[in-house]
Amino acid sequence: MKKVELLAPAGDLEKLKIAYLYGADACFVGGKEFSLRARASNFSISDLKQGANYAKKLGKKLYVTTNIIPHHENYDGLITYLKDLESANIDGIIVASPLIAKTAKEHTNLEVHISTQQSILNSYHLKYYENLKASRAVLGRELTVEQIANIKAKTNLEIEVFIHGGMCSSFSGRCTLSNTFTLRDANRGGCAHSCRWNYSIYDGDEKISTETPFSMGSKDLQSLREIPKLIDANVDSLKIEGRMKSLHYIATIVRTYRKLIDEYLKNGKVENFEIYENEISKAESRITNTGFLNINNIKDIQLYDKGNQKPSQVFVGLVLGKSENYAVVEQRNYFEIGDKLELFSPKDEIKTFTLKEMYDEDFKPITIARHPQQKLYLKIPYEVSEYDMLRKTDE
Amino acid sequence: MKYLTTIHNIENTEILLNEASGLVVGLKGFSTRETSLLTIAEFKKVSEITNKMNKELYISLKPMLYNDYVDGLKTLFEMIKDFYYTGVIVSDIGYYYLLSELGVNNIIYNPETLLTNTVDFNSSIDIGIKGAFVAKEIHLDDIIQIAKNKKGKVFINAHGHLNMFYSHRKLLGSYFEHINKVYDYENKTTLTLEEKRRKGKYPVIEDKFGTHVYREKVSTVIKYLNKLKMIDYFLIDTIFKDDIYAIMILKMFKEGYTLKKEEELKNKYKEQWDNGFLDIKTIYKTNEKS
Repeated sequence: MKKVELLAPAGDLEKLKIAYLYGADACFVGGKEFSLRARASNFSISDLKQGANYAKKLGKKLYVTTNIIPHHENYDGLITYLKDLESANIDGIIVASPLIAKTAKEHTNLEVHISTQQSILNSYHLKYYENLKASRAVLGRELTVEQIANIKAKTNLEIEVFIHGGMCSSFSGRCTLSNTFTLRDANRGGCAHSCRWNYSIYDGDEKISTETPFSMGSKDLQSLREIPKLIDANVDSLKIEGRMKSLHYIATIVRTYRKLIDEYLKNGKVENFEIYENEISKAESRITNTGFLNINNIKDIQLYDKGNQKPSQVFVGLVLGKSENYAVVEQRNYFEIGDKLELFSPKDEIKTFTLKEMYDEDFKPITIARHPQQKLYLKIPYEVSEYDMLRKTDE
Repeated sequence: MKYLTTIHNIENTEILLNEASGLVVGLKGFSTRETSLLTIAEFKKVSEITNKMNKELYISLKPMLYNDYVDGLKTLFEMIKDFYYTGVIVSDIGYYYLLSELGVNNIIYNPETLLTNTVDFNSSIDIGIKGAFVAKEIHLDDIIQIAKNKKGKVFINAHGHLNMFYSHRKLLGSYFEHINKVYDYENKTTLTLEEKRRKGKYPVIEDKFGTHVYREKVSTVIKYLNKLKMIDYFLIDTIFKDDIYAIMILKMFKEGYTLKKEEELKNKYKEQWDNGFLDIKTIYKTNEKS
């Protein structure tokens, strides 16, 4: 069976390392210029150099988003910036504009991937980007697995598909709600997510919506059960959305998809999807659905008043290493002696234990870990490694 | 400088073409967000009148293109291959490659939000597209710069309610199902959305292609006509209005704007006007710190 790339988001260098360690084959990050997701903590050129070096050592790839739809005022500095990206030794850029694609091809050897902002939904559209010498296209999110397979069969471009995370309710790149309501340019990194606001519906002067407000906001995408079909469709890259998501979210989501993909590639089937669904639910902060990938679930795709849900488990600590018989842990959320914790790591099975011993940085015994990023020593009855994580479970 | 308009009733074809250089029409089953969706027979009739009057006629295909639509489109263009029409306005560049295979020429590209700069505009012309609409959310300065450096015909949404949201999702249908309410909402043009912090009411339509939300106010370029002389085509889109409205607006564009005419129209149609994004720059946010 053909290997498929698992592509993960990263908002900073720490998340980038975690994404690779927990199983991503490639990561995508935002740079300081020409990138959507203005509020993500985007990477400087120096950060990108570090990230790219780290990726190369692991035999993995790093892509940078340059996916705004530029106005003339955005021309300035583009060539220099693209050359800087090339010198940072990244593998490719994700673009939404022919201007940026052409400039990259003319002045650099960077791979060019076409962003989902172009809402590519048919095989004819891809011819345009073949002409622009792009190597990959990220398809629009309004396609079923069958439609994706049909497109993939008709192109030489690599095909990338979103498998997890937040979704635009509008065709991506075609929405100006944010521009109109807030003057924040949705196609230049300023989307105000106006589609998720609450609205009333009127017919003439008569209000026809109820106390349940109308919203265009979408449930998040979760496609565990569609992964085998996407692999069978010869999709080249499976993309997780969420450059602004937490370390724990990235680790949990990437690890879960990694394990599922590996099981399918090894055995040609997935024995029990529920194990993966249960695991992924520990990090989800919004209700999920398979989006358009599975036509049978489309009726239940909208969020409405269901709002957010809390992840079932809380990320409490990041393992920094070992010191004699203790795990050195950086505190990330409140926890205390007696808590039932899960230790999870990129490769090993998840292990559960009750916390009985904990010490502060001066090795004084403590019962509560309440200070963010406090360095702690924990007695954990299992082997630990750097970048393992601890989370508190209610079970 | 040519003026195109949409049409509500094909009985008005002649009177509209007395004022306009051409018409933009939708075809039943293939078009969305149009003032009329013509059957093949109706299109033939409009085509014959337009040809006789030596005017222009464009078919508008605003739905995003799916491979599933290809067979239907092939059949359609085979059926109308001997009819007179000037060109096809398409929302998705995939249509250009498909229609080129079918021998249909004079494709005009209207992705609505994507052609925001000269290079992106001309890139579509470079592949053989004859003209394109500039993005609706760009400033007058950007439009002028594109027009000065154009390689093909420049089209602009000159007057009408601009669409600001287009989803494949059946959002109204999903909502009414969610609240267990039976309501006749499909293809209805009287529905609006209201957001509690804003007083405006935004027209919303759901049809077979998805959900469409519009700006509340009519956007018009009428006050900037003297700066837009390099634009080749001005489209008057009369969605939510009627053919009389189209004639009044066309006359105003051709004969000259006065505040009195604006007030008369606004009062008659109970509407407000703005200049769209012509005189407002949207915010480029990438320098924002988190």
